[in-house]
Amino acid sequence: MANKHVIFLVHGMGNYTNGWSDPAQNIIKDKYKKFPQISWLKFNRFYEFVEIIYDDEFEALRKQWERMSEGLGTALQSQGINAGLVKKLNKLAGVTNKDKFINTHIVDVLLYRFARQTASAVRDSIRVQILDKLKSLNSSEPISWSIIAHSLGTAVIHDALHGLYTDALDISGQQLGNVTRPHMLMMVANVSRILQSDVKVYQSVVRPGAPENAHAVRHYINARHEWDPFPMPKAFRPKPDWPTLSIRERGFYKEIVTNAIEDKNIHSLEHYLKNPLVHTALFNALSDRSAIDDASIKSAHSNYVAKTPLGKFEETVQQLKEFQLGEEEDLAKVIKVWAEFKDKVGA
Amino acid sequence: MRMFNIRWAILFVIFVGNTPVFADESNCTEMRNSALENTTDHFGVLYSLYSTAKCFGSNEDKEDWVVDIRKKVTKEDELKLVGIEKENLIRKQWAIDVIDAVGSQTVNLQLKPDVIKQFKQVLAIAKEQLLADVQDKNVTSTGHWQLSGDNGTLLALPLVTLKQDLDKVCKNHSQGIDKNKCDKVVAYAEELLRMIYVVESAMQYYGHPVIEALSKRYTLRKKMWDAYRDNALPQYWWEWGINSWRLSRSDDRLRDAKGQPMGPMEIPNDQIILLHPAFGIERLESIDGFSTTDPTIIIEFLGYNRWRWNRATGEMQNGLGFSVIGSYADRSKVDDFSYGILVHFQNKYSIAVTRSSEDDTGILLTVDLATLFREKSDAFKELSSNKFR
Repeated sequence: MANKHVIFLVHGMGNYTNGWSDPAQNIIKDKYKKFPQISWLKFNRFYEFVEIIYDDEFEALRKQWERMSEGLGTALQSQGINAGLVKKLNKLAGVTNKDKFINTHIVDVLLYRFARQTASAVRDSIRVQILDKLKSLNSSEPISWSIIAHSLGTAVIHDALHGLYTDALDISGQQLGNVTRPHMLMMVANVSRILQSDVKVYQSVVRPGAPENAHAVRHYINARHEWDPFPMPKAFRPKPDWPTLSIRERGFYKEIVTNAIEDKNIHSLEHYLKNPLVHTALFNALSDRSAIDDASIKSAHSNYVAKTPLGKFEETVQQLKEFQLGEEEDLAKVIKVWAEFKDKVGA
Repeated sequence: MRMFNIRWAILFVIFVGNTPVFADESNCTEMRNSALENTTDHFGVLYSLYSTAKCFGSNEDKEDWVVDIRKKVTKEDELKLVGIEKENLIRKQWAIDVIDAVGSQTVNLQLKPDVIKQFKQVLAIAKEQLLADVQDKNVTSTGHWQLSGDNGTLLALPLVTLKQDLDKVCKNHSQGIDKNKCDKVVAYAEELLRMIYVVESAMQYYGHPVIEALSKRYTLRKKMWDAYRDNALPQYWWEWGINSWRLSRSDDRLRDAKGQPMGPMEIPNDQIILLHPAFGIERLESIDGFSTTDPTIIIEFLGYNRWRWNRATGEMQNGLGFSVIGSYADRSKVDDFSYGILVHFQNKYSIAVTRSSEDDTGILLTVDLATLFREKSDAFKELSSNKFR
């Protein structure tokens, strides 16, 4: 049996369990059917989705600190130590414990960015999930796979891929790039640059154009919404000759900027995928050619924009203006604005 | 009115004819015949059948030589029963068999004799490299055998220009012009796609152990990271931060041409302990001959813990550490505070010798507060009762 093309889905910040990507999957399948140029090949027959979950790494650490600080509080109180002091000490120890989303989401980002152990554990978890799936496929047929990553997921997948594709087996020196590479990497609300640490995104091997070179991926799609505060600061916006002029000319790197608003949570993966500019880029990359021509894309986009007039979302637009960030904002302000956005928009 | 209806009917048929509609289980032949019938984009159709539907050269292909060569492949579950060395030999042998089989089929590409010649040369190089177990980044890599969808070229065979060939000859096919020529180029294209797909399959099969080896490596690493979090001495968030800083400083990975670190970060085998609260039981012997045993709050001011990794199993072994501590217990007849050196064994057990300001000497045992409360949250309350007084 020939292998289906595997599409890995990598979530962003927050709590995620199995089934988190069902809405996104349904949107992709639904939009695929609307283009006869590609839908003559049934989606479910030739593609399959695999969810990647990595927030369990953050959760395990948070839970451990929660238990440690609870124990500390109990121990201190039983020794008759001043209640006020206990409260202060407990607060210090338990600063990561609050179960509010602000801590859940923002602590994940801070842990990934600043705690090397956590970042490495998350990257290894993602690598294991990808490799386990690839290992399970029929090896006497070619393996083809792609990745759609969202928000914090763009940073973790970037780093995970860079490490994987610069690693070599100890004795033979063989590398994964000789055997398989992701066909397409779609980065939605790309925060890989503002969260970069040991690996710099413009210099890493995670660049398009494979297999003509040693780059990790073939197609790289970078999608952002003009009003989305997440990908704004230190936006991933490479120069026109990144990685090379010829790769750009061949269309292996696609920059998609949208501004239509369908609902107030413009940061969500589902909102991005609903826009024809985004999903047609996805389908063309999966097809490895311009299966959906420019005229069809333009027509689909015009219809979409006509149904999402800015006037309908004037209040949302006014709200979104509060969350605009500059290119060079410092990380502390960025984190604060991201947290406020999630709070107000309910993302 | 009748002419109007006929005109709309013709337009409808043309539109529908260019957009084939298939049942989910249509086979490759049905899809191929229907898709090619009225298309103006022969390359697009054939490429989709090759790349997405995998109709050429896969297990779905009923072409005799493809069926024959695929019968020779040893399945995954059978490979699991043999050792790694034998598995690698089996994989290599099938790849070589594929090269031989494809080599004998290249005669079917007679439309392009130069492609045949190049194909045979490249297959010979690939075979040499497989026999010598030399993994080149070119002819034995799967990527070099993947046809490009935008321009119909192939890295392994630079003379292949499939899109150009099909576009040039088949552009008037729908009007019945050059139909025979177009059919010949389509037949050539299908044969070529079949052959390169099978060769790519062979390289995938041969290289698959790399995926398995990396999967094993990263699974072990994940286990080690979990052990670092769960089995080393537990760390509060400030300790986690300090140890993260140390990890960054000690990162000595090789760098690539662009100065970026290569491979994953080394997993630490030590940790700094800093202002770490813990709990223990201290027996203090006063110089007056009085002794007391009390549950005690400890602060490890500064310490260091180290272990060895079993690289085969990912387990921590031989943990040994020490820290400078202060302890406090609510005592009536002796000093509440004492100080000492705490020694940690195996990341689980700790013992200290302490001395109070009144020269009372103590022995302190601790099951780390955090470890204790990982498992038994009531244990501290029990010990804080008068049970041990």
